[in-house]
Order: sequence, then structure tokens, then C-alpha cells
Amino acid sequence: MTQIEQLLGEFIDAWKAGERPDVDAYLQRIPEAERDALAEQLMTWLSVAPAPAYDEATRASIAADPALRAAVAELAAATEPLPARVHALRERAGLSIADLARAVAEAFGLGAQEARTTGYLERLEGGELDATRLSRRLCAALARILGVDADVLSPPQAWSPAAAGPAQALWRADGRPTPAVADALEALSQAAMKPAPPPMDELDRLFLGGPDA
Amino acid sequence: MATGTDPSPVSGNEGEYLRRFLVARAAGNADEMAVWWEALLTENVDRVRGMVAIEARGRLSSDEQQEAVQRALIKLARNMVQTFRGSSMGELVGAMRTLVKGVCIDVQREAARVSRRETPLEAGWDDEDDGGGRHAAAIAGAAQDAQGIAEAQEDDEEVLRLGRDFLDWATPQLSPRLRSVIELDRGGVPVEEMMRRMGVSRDVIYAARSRALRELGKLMEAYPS
Repeated sequence: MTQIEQLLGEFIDAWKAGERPDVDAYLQRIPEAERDALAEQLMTWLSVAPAPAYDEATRASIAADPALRAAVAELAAATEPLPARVHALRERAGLSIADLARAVAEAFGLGAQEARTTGYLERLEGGELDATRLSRRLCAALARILGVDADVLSPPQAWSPAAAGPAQALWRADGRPTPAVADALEALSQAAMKPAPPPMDELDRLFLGGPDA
Repeated sequence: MATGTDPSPVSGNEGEYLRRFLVARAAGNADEMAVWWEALLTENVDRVRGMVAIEARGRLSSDEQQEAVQRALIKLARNMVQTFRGSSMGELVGAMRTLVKGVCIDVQREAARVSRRETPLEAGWDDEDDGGGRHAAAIAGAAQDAQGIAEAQEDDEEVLRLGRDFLDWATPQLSPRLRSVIELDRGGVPVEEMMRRMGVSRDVIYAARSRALRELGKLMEAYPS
């Protein structure tokens, strides 16, 4: 049996037993010429292995890991809705909405539109705006002004069911449409009859134009 | 908790944690999303640490490796809770591997930039290059934001690319014996029990493991294309 087979075998046994084997320690046990090959196989194992069944003591030790605690603290903030995050960060920074609006307007060269920017920010914090329509540029600027990483205020994604496959897309009902479908078609036809809304300006695009605006 | 489901994580069942997370996300229940994603993070700390150790080998110092582990876990917590669109552990682990690689590259790049910038303390005060002051810092900050956004988009695309569960596709391509070894290993069956069930020695199992993982590694390279 080769040394790679032996060490890989021992590693996997230890992993399955929940003994938390240290990859570096195993790699140090093999001559350098063979290290890449062992590393490759260990990576493949880590890519397909289920998490081990840890005992309670091990689980408690993992839960107390400072790196994990720091990540969990970020998780709590990340799952909070974006309007609440903006509000909390603004308060933490000691800024009023008007202060934040001024800084946002300055960041985008929109000095004359502070009042409108204030209105948009009030609607954002009040949950009246669709947060998935915020532009990434705006979120990055808000993060910079509020002193946090851009990731903290990355715009949420609109979760939608997967697009219908071709068979579903081409399927047609033979009978009358359900009331909901009839309502949707009516709404669409009404919308098509209305004149187009005025084009968005830069400020509208930042708050309403979607992530890429 | 806002719903009536049991939020207490059950030991050793990451697939169940993922399923509950997906249900919570579909229901827009942020509290439960956080509970189940935290359980998934806890289950996967060792996997992330191991992946970083392999990716960082010969490239990052010990401190930088610790930094990479921390960043990877934070990105998993902060970004992937929003961006992960898969529905299986295979997809999640594939996305973790992509994320770990990206984080190690970032840490290495930053370390290289810092070491290039390191100059004696007495130097720099009269340098013409330092005249940009806060404007230069602002420009650098904006550039960093733009880069951060672009990288987040790339991460998302990587995650989306992993559309199927690798093992469902790859395992049937292994020989019956290698498939048995991998399936028993993935089932957490102790090696002594594997020896008994298969009627072979430990050495034979170790050799088969290694061969199975070599073949899976090759299939993994072919998989995305």
C-alpha cells in the first residue's frame, strides 16, 4: 500500500469518526513530492463527504470557535431585511435621514436633489420600496457612507420560481382561464393602453432601476 | 420563532438543515433562515478549514490561512445565505469550494499588495506620489467597491453554474467496488464494518478509497463543462 493510500485512509476514518483531522498535519506527514497528490484526493473527499456525526462535546467546541462566532454574528445581520439594516446602521452612525440623503446626493453628483433623496430614503426605511429594485451602485455608496463593507448592504435578490420549461411554457388550457389569470390578463391589457411613464432620471434609477441600474 | 416548526438543530443531518433552510427562505421567515443556516455553518466549519488548508498550501502564511478561514466563513454567512440558489448539499459544498478558492486568491493578492507597499517609516513624507491625499483614497475606495460588486456577481454566477448534484452524475460512472466503498464511506460506516461487509482487508479498502477519489477528482474536473 502506498503512503498516500495509508494517510488518506486514516484521514477519512478520523473524519467519519468526528475526530476533526487536521489537513495540514496529514500533508506534513508525506514527502513533498507526493504532497500534491494527497492534497488533491483530500480535496475531493472534502467535496463529497457528508459532515461527520460529531459528539456533543465536539459540537460544543465547534460552536465556540471564534471564527464561527464571528460568522454567525454577520449572519444575524444578513438575514435582517435590508430596510432594517439601513435604519440600524444609520442610527449607529449618528446620521439623520437628511444627513444620509445629503451624502448620497453628493456621492452621485445630485446635490440639487437632496429633498427627493430624503423622500426615497424615508420610503426605503419604511419598507415602502422594493429592496430588490435598488441598484448595486446605491447599495455600495450607502455601505461606504455608513462605514461597512459593501457586502453588508448588497441588494437582496428577487426569489422567483424557476422559469417554466419549454413544455410548460407552450402548454395551453382548453377551458376558460381561472379568475386570477383573467384578472392578470386584464391588468396587462390595461397597462398596455396607458401612456408610458416619464423616463427615470438618475435618482429614480438608483432606487427603482434594479441591481444593474 | 415565528412558525410552529421545531428550530432545534438535529445532530448530523446537514441535508435536513438545508431543506429546512429552503422552506424558511421560501416562506420569507428570516429568523428560521438564520437558525438553519447557522446549523449548516456549524456542520461545515471543518470542511471549510480543510479546503482552505489545501488551497492555501505554499501560498499563504499560517496567519493568512486563518484570515482566509475567517473570511470564507463570513462570506458563507453573509453572502451565500442570500445568493445560494441550489437545493442539495452537493451544490452547497461545490459552491463552498468555489468560494474558498476565491477567498484564498483574495487574501494572497492583498498580502502581496501590502508587502509591496511596505516602506521604511521615515520614507514617503516628501514623495510626489503621495500627494493625492484623501482624493486618492476616495478613488481607491470607489475602485474597491466596484471590484467588490463585480466579484460578488462572479460568485453568484459560479453558484448558479453548479446546477446539478455532482455525485448523482459521477457515482454511477465508478466500478461497482469503488462505488460501494464511496457509498459506505459517505454513509459514515466505520472501516472495520466495511471490512466485514465487503470481506476484504483494511489495505484493500484504503487502496480502493484512494482510487475512487482519484476517479471522482477527474470526473469533477469534467463536470462543469
